[in-house]
Amino acid sequence: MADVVLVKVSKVYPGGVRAVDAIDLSIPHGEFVVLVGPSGCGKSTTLRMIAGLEEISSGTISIGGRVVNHVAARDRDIAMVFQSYALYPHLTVRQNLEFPLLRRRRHPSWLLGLLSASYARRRREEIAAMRARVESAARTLEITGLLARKPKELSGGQRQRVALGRALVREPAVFLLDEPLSNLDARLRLEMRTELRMLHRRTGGTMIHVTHDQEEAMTLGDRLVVMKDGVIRQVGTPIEVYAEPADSFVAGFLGTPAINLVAGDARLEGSQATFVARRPAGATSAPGAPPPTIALPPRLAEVASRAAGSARTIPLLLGVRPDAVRPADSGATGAIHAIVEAVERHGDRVDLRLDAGGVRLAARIDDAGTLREGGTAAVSLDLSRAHLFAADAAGKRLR
Amino acid sequence: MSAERILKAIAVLAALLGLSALTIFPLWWMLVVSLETPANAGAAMVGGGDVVKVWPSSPQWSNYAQAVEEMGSRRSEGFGEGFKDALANSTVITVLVCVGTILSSSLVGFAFARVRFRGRQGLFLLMLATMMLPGQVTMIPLFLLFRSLGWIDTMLPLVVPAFFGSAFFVFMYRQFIAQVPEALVEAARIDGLGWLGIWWRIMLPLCRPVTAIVAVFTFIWTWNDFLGPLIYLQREESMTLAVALNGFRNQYGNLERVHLLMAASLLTMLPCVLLFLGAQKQFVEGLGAGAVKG
Repeated sequence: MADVVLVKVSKVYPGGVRAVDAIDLSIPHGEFVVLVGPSGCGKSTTLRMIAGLEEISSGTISIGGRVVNHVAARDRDIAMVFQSYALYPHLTVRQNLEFPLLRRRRHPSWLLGLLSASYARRRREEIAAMRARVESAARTLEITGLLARKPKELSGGQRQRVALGRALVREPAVFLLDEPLSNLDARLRLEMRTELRMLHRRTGGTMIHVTHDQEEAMTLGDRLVVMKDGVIRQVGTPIEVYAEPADSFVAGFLGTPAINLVAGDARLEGSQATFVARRPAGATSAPGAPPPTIALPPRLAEVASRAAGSARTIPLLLGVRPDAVRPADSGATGAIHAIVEAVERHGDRVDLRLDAGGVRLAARIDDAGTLREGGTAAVSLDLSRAHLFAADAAGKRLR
Repeated sequence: MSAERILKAIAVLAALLGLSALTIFPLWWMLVVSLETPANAGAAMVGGGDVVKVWPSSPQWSNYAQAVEEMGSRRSEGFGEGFKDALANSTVITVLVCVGTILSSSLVGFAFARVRFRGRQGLFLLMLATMMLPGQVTMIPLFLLFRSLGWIDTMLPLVVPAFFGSAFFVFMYRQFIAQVPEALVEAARIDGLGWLGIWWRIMLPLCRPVTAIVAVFTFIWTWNDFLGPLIYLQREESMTLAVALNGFRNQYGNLERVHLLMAASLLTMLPCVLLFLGAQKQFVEGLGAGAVKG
């Protein structure tokens, strides 16, 4: 069993930069975990600390119950796939796959094989077993036909498979994947994503995958670890993290187009609450039109009043996913009037960018109908899945 | 093709041919003189162009056999014994120096490029500074050092220093290795290699273009080195080809025997020419290394 447990792990670089700040994370055996966040959030550093390529400044990392803080990378029973693949350019694909196994043989010496027949026999068996593992990994990844080639004769996708194969032959306790798909073109990336999932199901190993691509993270992971500035902002299944984001950063990071985070004030009157959007500083368009005023449903009104305490108004962020912004009749109650700034047709859906009294809104709808850029539109917000976030820097979701 | 382009091509070709002729001229002159009769060769040293033809009217191939026979120390013991001695000495010293230089320079260059340790930058600069010392400055202290070690009249003073790296080649290896992606080193660490393993199994094979340059230069310098063997090797039978050639010249420096000197010189430089031709592809790759990502 290879649980990976991080306790208060920090990485401080010389010069005082805190790349990773006291993170706690527990990954049970067999799970596919994705570390996701913008560049510089500490996700790669975390992975490299687990790999043993980066020393940790404080805390403990254990793999399979064994603390590995001072264990060399090669003795941690891990395998890593690098963004650049890191295939040995002077070796053939077969030699690349054999490489990690050759270094781990128990009977490596041909000289001793000359002296002792039993040693020679065990050595031969070991080599045969090694060959079998390489063949089997090559079959799994469908690269059997490439075994005699050098890396430079392979396409990006094939190199990626070989890099995966080199990790696979080791049969390690933990697979570490450092943005392995980011050098592939868009179509290949989708294909490899599916293959990675299937590979995980087949091997049943623990996989820790690092990416900055939120879509990749959502589709791959059993669980996501969303990081920012060296801190874990939220850990959860993709659905949890998407539907119940811990804060405005997580809400904004996951989902395309990004969630609408509208700044404004909640005005409380009894059990009713109204959200008055604030015109952002510097907003130029739609002069004269007031920013929208939105009546909050009872659930959000209650949340707002809890947050406000005795105050009558409270500054908040209203988070509404673009698919909850829907076309409405211009005369309907609560309809928001906006100018259509951009219409992006994707075939099966249409993304709109709207300007409602200086407040930018993204909408995802099925059909643009008669909407055109520069025209006007009336939309309503479906607030059943909307969230309220504190307006401070932490931006915690209010419950 | 337009007339202008044809003219341009002709001009370029003519320039290249002219430069090639300039480079080849001394070699051709050596070859022709080495095949001349003693009288003609001697006259060529005085009269030059009047006597030497594009190709001798009756090439004296026996000059080569005679040059080999009269070279080196043990010429009395049979045909070419002295030449064989000198050839063997040159070969052993050159091969050992090449191997030593490549192993030590690449190892040190690898350490400077990849291993983080305190004082790395300072040590590197110090090493580079040693390149500024002219050989003449260190000649006498080195001689005293080797004498106190009892190494005089052995190959050791010529060979052992090569196993301690050469500043310039360390620099070359360092620059090349610094361009190898860090991920390769990390992958190798995870795959179970230590520093020495990474050097031997990953870096040395990747450094082939640099190694080709180092090998060719070291070979040529060592093969043609005159001063080193002259200083440290005293017995006649331990001298190298370069020194044997010199002994030859003192003996036959008189103008009648210049044909033999040329024949012996051509024989001596043959391995260098062959090596360069053989390693040319690697060599050119190495000179352009780093220009294009591999």
